[in-house]
Formats: sequence, C-alpha cells, structure tokens
Amino acid sequence: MKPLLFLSAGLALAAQPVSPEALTAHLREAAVVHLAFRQTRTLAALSRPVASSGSLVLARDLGVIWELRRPVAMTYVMGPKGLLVVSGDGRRERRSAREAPVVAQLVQVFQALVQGDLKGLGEFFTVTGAGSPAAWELTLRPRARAEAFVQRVQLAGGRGIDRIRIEEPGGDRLELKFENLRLDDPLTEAERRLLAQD
Amino acid sequence: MRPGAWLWGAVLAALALAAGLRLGPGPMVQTDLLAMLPETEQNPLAERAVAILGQAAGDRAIFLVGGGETARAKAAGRTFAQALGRSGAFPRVLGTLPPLDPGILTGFYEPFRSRLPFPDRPATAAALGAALEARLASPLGAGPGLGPGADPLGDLAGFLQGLPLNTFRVEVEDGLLLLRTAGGVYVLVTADLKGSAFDPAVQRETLGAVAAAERGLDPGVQVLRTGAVFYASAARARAEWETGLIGWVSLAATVALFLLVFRSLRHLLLGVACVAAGLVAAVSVTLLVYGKFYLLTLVCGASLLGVAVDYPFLYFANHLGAGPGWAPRAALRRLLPALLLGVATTLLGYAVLGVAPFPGLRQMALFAMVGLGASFLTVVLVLPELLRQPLPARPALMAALDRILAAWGAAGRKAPFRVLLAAGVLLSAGCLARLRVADDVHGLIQPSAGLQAEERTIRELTGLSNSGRFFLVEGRDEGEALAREEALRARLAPLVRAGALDGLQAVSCFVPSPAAQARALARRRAEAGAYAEALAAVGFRPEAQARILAGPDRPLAVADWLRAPFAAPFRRLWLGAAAQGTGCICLPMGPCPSGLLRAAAAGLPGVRLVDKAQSVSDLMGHYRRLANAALGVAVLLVGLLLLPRYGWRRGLAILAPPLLGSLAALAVLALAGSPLTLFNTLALVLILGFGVDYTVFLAEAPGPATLLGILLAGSATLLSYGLLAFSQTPALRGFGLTLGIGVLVSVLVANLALETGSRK
Repeated sequence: MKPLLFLSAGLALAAQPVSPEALTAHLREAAVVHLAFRQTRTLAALSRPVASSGSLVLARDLGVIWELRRPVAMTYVMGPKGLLVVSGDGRRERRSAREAPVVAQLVQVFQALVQGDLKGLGEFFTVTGAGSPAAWELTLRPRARAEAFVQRVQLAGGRGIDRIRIEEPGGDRLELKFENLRLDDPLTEAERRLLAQD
Repeated sequence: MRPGAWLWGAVLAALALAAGLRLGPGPMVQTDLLAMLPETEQNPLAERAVAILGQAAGDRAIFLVGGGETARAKAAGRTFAQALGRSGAFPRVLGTLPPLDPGILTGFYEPFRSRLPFPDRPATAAALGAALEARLASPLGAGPGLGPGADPLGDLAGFLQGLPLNTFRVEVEDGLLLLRTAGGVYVLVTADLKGSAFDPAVQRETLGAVAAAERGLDPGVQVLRTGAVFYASAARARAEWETGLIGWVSLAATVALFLLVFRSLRHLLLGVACVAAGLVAAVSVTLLVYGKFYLLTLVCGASLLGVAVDYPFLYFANHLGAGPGWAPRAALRRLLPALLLGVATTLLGYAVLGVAPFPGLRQMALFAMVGLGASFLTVVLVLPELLRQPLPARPALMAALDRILAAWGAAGRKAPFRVLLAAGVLLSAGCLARLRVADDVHGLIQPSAGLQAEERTIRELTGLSNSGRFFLVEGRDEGEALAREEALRARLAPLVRAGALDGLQAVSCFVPSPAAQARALARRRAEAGAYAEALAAVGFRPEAQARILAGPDRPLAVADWLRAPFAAPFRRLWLGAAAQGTGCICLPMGPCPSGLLRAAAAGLPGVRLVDKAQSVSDLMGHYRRLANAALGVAVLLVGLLLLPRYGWRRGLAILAPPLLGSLAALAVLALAGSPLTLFNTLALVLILGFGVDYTVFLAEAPGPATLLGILLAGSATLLSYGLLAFSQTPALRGFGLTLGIGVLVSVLVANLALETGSRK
C-alpha cells in the first residue's frame, strides 16, 4: 500500500488535461458509494501472492469504511476525526487526526482513486486517459520525484471503478478488483455510527 | 566663581566625555524587551537553553499569506515569497520546507533498526502470523521505510512515522506549505534575518521589504506575521514616541511656568541648565554602567525632567519672594536643610526601586538617582554663583499667595476639612478591601496588541510552539538524560492523546536511550523463532526471512544523529555535556496550560518545566512583597530622619500628607479595578519621597515663596508623571497614575504640616 500513501502526498492541485477528468466526472456525483473488493498483493519476497477481500463504503465528507473480512476480520474507519480500527473481537483502537495526519490524506486518496477525483495527482504523475465514460482507462506515470516508489498506476472502470493496479519498481504489485457497485444507497445505522467514530 | 562650581562643571564634562568614548558603534538603545528581565533560573543550563531557544525564534520572521480560496492563497504566497527574496533584506526565504526525501530517513535508521523500539505484541507464531496477514491486507500501508518485503510488520515504518518531523499542521502542496483553516487557506513563509532582530538597521530594512512585498499583493489578501523583529521595532517606535511626547510636553510646560512666574529669560536658562546637567549626568553614568538604554528607562527618564526641575523651582521661588536684600549664598544656607532632606527622601525612594534585581528597574533607578542628584548639586554649587541680581519683587502675586496660604492653613483647622478628610480616609480604606494583586510579566513587557493577535493566530493555525516554555531534562550522561526524557514523554503521552498537546519535540524521539535500544534488541531476539515460523507460514521466501530477521544491530548514539542533515532543525534541543551533566530540551507543542505540564512531570528525577514568563512573574510577586516591606522600612527611615528635627507631633504631620496621598492612590486603583503590581508599590515609595519634600519645605519656611515653589514643583511632577499614564506599557501606566494621584493628594493636604507648624 506504500504507493497509495505516496499518492496522497501529492493530492490537491494542478491543472489536469481535460479528457481524464471528463471520463470519470460521473463517478463524483454520488455522495455514498458501496463496493466489494478483492485485493491481491504480490511481493518478490513472497512465494505466493497474499489475497484479501472485504467491502468498502465511501461517504463524501464523512470518510471511508474499509471492512476486511478475509484473511482476518478488521475494520478501518478513516475520517476527519482520525483513524478507528475495530478488530474481529470488537477491540477498538483509535488514533486522532493529529497523531496520524496520514489518515486525512488516505481518505483523499481513496476518494481520488475510487471516484476518479484526479485533482492534485499532477505533481507526482502524468495522467493519460482512454476510452469513453462508459468504459474508461486511466494510466498514471510517475514524474522524476516519484519514480523510486511507483512505476505505474492503472485505473479502469465504466459506470464505477472496476480495477486498480499499482506496480512498484522491485516487481511488487498490488491489484484491487471492485464489484457490486451501489451508488447513493443510504448509509445503514451501523455505518453511520462507525463513521461518527463515537 | 568658586572652585566647587568649576569642579562640578569639570566632573560633568568628564562624565560626558567618558560616556562618549565608551559608546560603541552599535545602537544606543536596547530594543530586546527580554533583556531587562532578570535571570530567573538558578541553573545556568536552563538560562542557556532559554537563550538558545530565544535566539532560534528571534532570527527569523514568519508569515501566513492568504485567507481566501486555495488558488489565490498559493499565488499570493508565491508572489510574497519571491518579493521578499528579491528585496535582498533576507539571506534565505522559505516558501516550503526543504523537501525531505523519505529515503534519507530510511537510509539513516536502517543500520540501527534492530535496536529501535517497536510496539508490544505477543511473541507467538500464531499471533505474529495474524499480525502479518492483517498488515499485508491493510489499507493503511507501510508508509515510509523499507516496504512490506523487508519490514513486513512495519516496525521501522512505525518508528519513522513517530518522529516529530511534522508537528506543524501544514501540508506540502505544489512546493508550498499550505494550511487549511476555517477562515481560508494560508501559505506559510519563513525568512531568515540579515542580522540581529534588535538592530535598528535590520529592523528598518526588514520592515521596508515586508511592506513592499505586501504592496505587491492583491487587496484582500491577508498577511499575518510574527517574529522578534516586529515586536522589537514596534516597541522601539512606541517608546520613542512616548519619550518624545513626555519630554516635549513637560519641557514646554516647564518653560511656560518659568516665564509666567519668574518673567526672566535668565532664570529660565538657569533652570534648564540644572535639568540639562541632570540629564547629561544620568545619560553618561547609565551608558558607562550599562552600555545601552532599555526602552523603559527612556520613557521613564523623560518624566524625570519634571522632577529634576523641582530644586531650581524651590530656589527661585525663595528668590522671588525675598525682595532687594536677597543674598544668593545666605538664601541657600537657609534653604539647604530642607533641600537636603527633600533630596535624601527622594533618592531613598529610588534606591528602594533598585532593590529588585531587574536590570530594567535598576537602570531606571540609577538613571533617576544620578539625574536628580546632579540637578540638586547644580542648584547648590552653580546657581548661587550665577544669580547675582535678585528678581524684581512681585508683591501682587505674593500677596495673593499669602492669602491662599492663610485660607488653606485655616481650612485645615476647620471641621468641614477634618470631616472631609476623615470621610476620605474611611472611604479609601473601604476601597482597599477590593484591591487585587497581580504579578504578570506582561505588565512590564506589553507587546503591541495587533502583533500579539497575529502571533496567536499563527500559533493556533500552525501549532508553532511557545519557545519560552520547555522541559529541561538532565542526567549524569547521555544515556541517563535520554532515558529520563523517555520517562517524561511517557507521562506526557496522555496529554497528546487528549489533544491538549499537539506533540513533543525531543531528542529521544530520534535517538532512543541505550536502555530502550537494549530492550528492543532483547525483545527482537526473544521473538525471532516465532517470527521466523510466522514468516514461513505466510509464504516469505527463505532469503527474505533471513534478511528480515538478521537486521543490523549497531547502537545509535546522539553523535550519529547530530551529524545527519535532517537533524538540523532539532540540534538545538541537545544541550550536550555541561558541568552538571548532560542536558536536553523537550519542547511541548501547542497551547497546553503550564499547570498540566508541571503536574504531568511531577516527581520525575532530572526533569524541570522552565517557563520564562511564569518565572519572571513569580519573581515580580516576590519583589512586590519585598517592596511592600521596603515601603514600610522607608516610612520608618524617613520618620527617623524627621524625628530629631521636628519631634513626634510635627514629624507625623509632615509624614501624613504622603501617606494620605498613597492611600488615595490605592483607593483609586481599587475603584478602577486595576491590580496592585510591583510598579504601583514602587510608585508609593516615590510618593513618600516627593510628598515629604513638600511638607518639609512648608514646615521649614512657611510663606508665600515656599507655597509657590511647591505649587510649581508639584505641577511639574504631576505633569511629567501624569503623562506616563498615557504610556502603552501597563507597568508605566500604573506607575504614572499612582504617582500622579498620590502627588496631587499630597499637595492638597500638605496644609496639615502647615497647621501644626504654625500652632507650635
């Protein structure tokens, strides 16, 4: 996940070529997005990839719930208040936004990647787009400063996002596949409580 | 002329010459307000730490530019930084932090990684395996560091993320330091000064460049600033303005009084000569002793004009009333006991002022004592030589004064006056119950309110720390100092979690103590077997396992860290070895009350909260109590001086007016709701000094000429000290107000001395 973190550092500004923005404009209309994900991490140090899966809720201005179900149950809630980690056994661990400034950026990164919000990626990446709003593909290539951390990021989707693939220089790779996209389904009471981080 | 007069002239000239020679090329005025505060720390290491941190904060200027939406704030920030850079007034302007390559940190700490602390965890294969799986699947990522292949549990990454590198609330964006607030987006710009923030030339150049850079911005763009250079130049400008106001107004009033009453240019010039002699002596001696003037002395020195003119007034008034038979020396001989008593009581008052070890107050006291003494000597030694011709008599004026005197003296014996006096005393005494005390250092150092508001905003927005407050941690050696700092950090951690503190800057964050390093290494060795098992279960290849488990284990020393370029902004936190041991500074970031900090650190060995403002305030409280005692002693001493000459009854009558004046001044303070500070107490001491002057003159030579002298002297004193009440420095304001009211009331009830005097 290191590249994701790194992307976060660059988020928030710069003029973008119009076409990639236009391709994903419809993704940013939803206030709430529900998704299921499957993640595969391939490391040179590992003899086999590590797979994980779970679901994801993005709520504009409220934050992100990343619920991991396999191989371990763990829920990460990231929002303006900071980070809340709920273990499978119900144990809660909290880190305030001051303690973990990275969290605020992570929220932006998820929003950026999953909702195609490309504002700010321009400092570290050149973004090129292809396809149509119904079936699009974006490629992010690092500028000189980011080359040591990431080789290439690819995003693909249609009505929503389908796939993210992040390639690192050492041959390490992270792939995320999304399905069961639901746009603007209201948040459940449990989700609301998690996002409030009370 | 007699040799005494010549000798006195020669002494003055020599003083002025010596002071001129002593005067260096630098500025004559010390604009560093903190310089006039006393050393508060018994521990020299603590004073050194205060100085180091003060300098670090003093040699740069900090700006926040923007206040609107992002794009406009960025454009404004860039324009502003470029304009500052082009101006040539700043050797270095930073719109951004030097970009810190995370690779540099990883590279530095990698060789030491086995000894870096890591979170507690069960050392079983199952628990470590679950942690590994969660970590590899987690969306949080490893952050900076070696990556999941070499550091799968993120131990090094966790350590690096815990470094206090970014305790400011700024984000780096587009090469700028950006701050998002409820009031809009700001860009943080810092600029190094060319020289000392207290050098007027540097101040002028800096302020000019900043003003020019501001003119280049769109209207509506906000520029907030902070830095010692702004405070110092604002304080200097204000002190110069106040000095000018007080100086010129009292000079003009004195000249007017002279011309109105004496109608003689010669007397005016002689009077001015006495004041000038006082000023020359005061300035010369102060420069010889201190080398520089504090702003406080400058402002207070200007009001000295009005007191130094008292002695010529008294002498000339006697002259005016005497008529053609007046002989200068004989008159002086008659006046001398009263003059001497008067000058002795006043000097005594100022000497009490110098008891407190505040360099600022001591300089003020020295200045006043030398100035008054020189003015007095000039009256005694020089005036009789130059005043051959008596003034034309003013019978009409004298007759009028005589009537006033008679009525005033008679009034003192009548019931209405007594009743009024008693009512006043009772009322004042009643008010005293409402009097509060306060010892805040900000009464003495009152930076401009606008600048303070800007600094507060900048602190709130950025999380910039207050460099006057920190923990001093000391130990026998490096290891003990670091370990003690770690104990302190553990105590402060709850405050950080609760949000009371934004964070801590401490050397031990970067360099764990040898004990902590040994503990980490031992724990790592203890869990190695289980960790290897867990790594294999998740699927790590054997060579990767070996790399992860057999990390290098060099011990990390402070010296290693000090050499690293990324340590540059934090090196000042390490005080190193001193006579008493090794010391370091732990800087709490954020507006946490000192009480909470002190309580958190209570009982820790070798740890002390140093709070300069609090220490000075405590010291002011201590000296306020001392000054109160000194006031009592001074009343007794003056009483003892008076006793042999006047006896009990008259002595008390002479002492009563200044005491009544002091009581009235205290009552007004209580009614106005202003607290009693060290400075009010010092003013009371001077009320005693001046007030006794008036009553002694009146008792020695009751007559229209003396009344005239007292009225003139009182008006001049009232005017010059009264003007202090318009000073922006609360301490001087309180001082002026107390003294003004005290002197006014002392003069009004001075007839008490007259009454008992004439009854005798």
